[in-house]
Amino acid sequence: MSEVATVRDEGERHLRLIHPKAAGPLLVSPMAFWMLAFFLVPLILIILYSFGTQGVYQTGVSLGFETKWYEQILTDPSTRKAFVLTMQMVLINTLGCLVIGYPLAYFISVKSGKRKTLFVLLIMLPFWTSFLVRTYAWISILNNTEGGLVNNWLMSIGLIDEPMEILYTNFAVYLVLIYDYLPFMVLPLFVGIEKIHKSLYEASKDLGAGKWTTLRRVTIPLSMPGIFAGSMLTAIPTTGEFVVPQIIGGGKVVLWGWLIYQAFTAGRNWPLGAALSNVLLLFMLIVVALYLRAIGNKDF
Amino acid sequence: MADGTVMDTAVAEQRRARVRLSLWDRLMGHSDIGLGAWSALVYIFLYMPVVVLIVFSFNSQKLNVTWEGFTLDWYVKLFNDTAIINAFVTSMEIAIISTVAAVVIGVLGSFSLERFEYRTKMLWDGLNYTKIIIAEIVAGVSSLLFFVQLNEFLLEYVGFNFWSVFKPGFWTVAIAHIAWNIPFAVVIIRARLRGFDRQIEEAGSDLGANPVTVFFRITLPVIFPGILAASLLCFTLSFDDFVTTFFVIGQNYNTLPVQIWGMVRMGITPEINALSAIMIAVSSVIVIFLEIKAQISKDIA
Repeated sequence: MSEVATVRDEGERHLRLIHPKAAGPLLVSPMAFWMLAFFLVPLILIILYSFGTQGVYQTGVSLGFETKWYEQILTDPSTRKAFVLTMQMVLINTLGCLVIGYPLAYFISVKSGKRKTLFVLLIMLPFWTSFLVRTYAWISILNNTEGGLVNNWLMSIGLIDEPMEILYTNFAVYLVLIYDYLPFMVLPLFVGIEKIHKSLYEASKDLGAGKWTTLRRVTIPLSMPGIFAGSMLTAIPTTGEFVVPQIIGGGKVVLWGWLIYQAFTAGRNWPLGAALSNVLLLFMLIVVALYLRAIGNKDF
Repeated sequence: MADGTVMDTAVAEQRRARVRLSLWDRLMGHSDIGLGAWSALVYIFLYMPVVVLIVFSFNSQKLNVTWEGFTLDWYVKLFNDTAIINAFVTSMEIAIISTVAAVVIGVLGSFSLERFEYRTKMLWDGLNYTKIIIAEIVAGVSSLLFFVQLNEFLLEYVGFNFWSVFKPGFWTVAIAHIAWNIPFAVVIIRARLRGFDRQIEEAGSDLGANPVTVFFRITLPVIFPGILAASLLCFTLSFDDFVTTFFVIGQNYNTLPVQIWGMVRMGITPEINALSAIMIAVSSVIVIFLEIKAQISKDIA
């Protein structure tokens, strides 16, 4: 109570030009307007219009109360298949990023010494060029001809005689997805591991624990907030991903994001697209609810 | 006797448990080398495509597949390709507008959220966090619906054609990018405000400075690193954004990512590699510069 009061007093002191009570809301108003008008209202609109009908000339939407788009999503076997494949992709990408990223985050936080900032910057640097171009560059690496870098290398060391099929496979899609999402996992993991006090490692060692025991019983449990945050930042955007499966997978597999893309472009069925993206919204709410429960339970 | 047996079993079990543990622990004994090697591999993984596209930007073969010979042709062609240059300029304009707007709005918002107590605070906080974690495609298509419906509404009830006043595409993208950037700016700037020693501000006002002077001479310089970091992030997010942009840009404009997406089917020409190589070079220089500057100021402190 008194803390709140002091904060308020200091705030008032700071902006005596306007009425103290008005200062907070006044300062927040541009942000509030922007987020309401260009984020919350569109979100409400898309929920409303998913119950609507297709507009004239099939573009746009008209309000209504139809549940047929949701029925279509639930009954259509191809949509169901897309859902299963998308969830599989989300799972593999998130776990892949976690398994590959955790040792790296640990290395940067605990072992990199004075160069810590540099190592963190090095993770972000490649991401300053268009991710479309970086994704496209993988085609040259994974190409199915002798010219593909991986094939070329494998043939030159004599492991294979003929070029292998790498590009346009599920493996290639997962590899490039992990590539694109890794920083979203590593940075929260790094922050999570960084928050662990270094003396805890020493305490664990002094009490006779080996490295494995320390990792399993100290480092991993204490970095759980980072693991959860990173997993969320990776999993949620992956649900709508369509660029990598399209470029690297050759569009062979239809995923949820691609269904939405199609509904709003060539398919010209906006209400269906709205319903499809609401399913993602629902998924996100579930993940966030689980996340909040995990945080609440573990008392981080 | 019986006690002894129980004890013995317990001791034996404990010893076995210790042996089992230490097996894993022993395996991890030299993990530092493994850890370093693993990290090095991950860095190679992260930089491989970047190296490939830089190398291919000097490759005389057009197909981006095999190395043929050194050329600077793609750099020359790049500067003569009006479609790419226009897309680049549009991307820059939108990124600058959305960064400046989002950071200004973000500074005010962070200040309010961090320093004042009022009832709606939770709502604005919640909206920001939701925006950060939501799948971008949802935000993209909902913005598209919003702009189309807004235009219909204005035409019907106000008799005002939104698209004729706001260049279709350009401003819709800028508006969507500002909304996309604000929460990120707020998160970064708030973190900086939180670690702020309020006594310097008090000292300022005790010495007779008015609130505006205190803000511009004390608060702003102290939170400046946060503002800089937020600006860099916002600029990158906006400049590289594809999903939201794709849905709200319409027919008349192209940003660089949208242009590249259009080219992907035909095969990206090495001109794009050349442009990416230039962009990497510029951003590396900026990062190295900032790093050196930070190092110097750390040394002085």
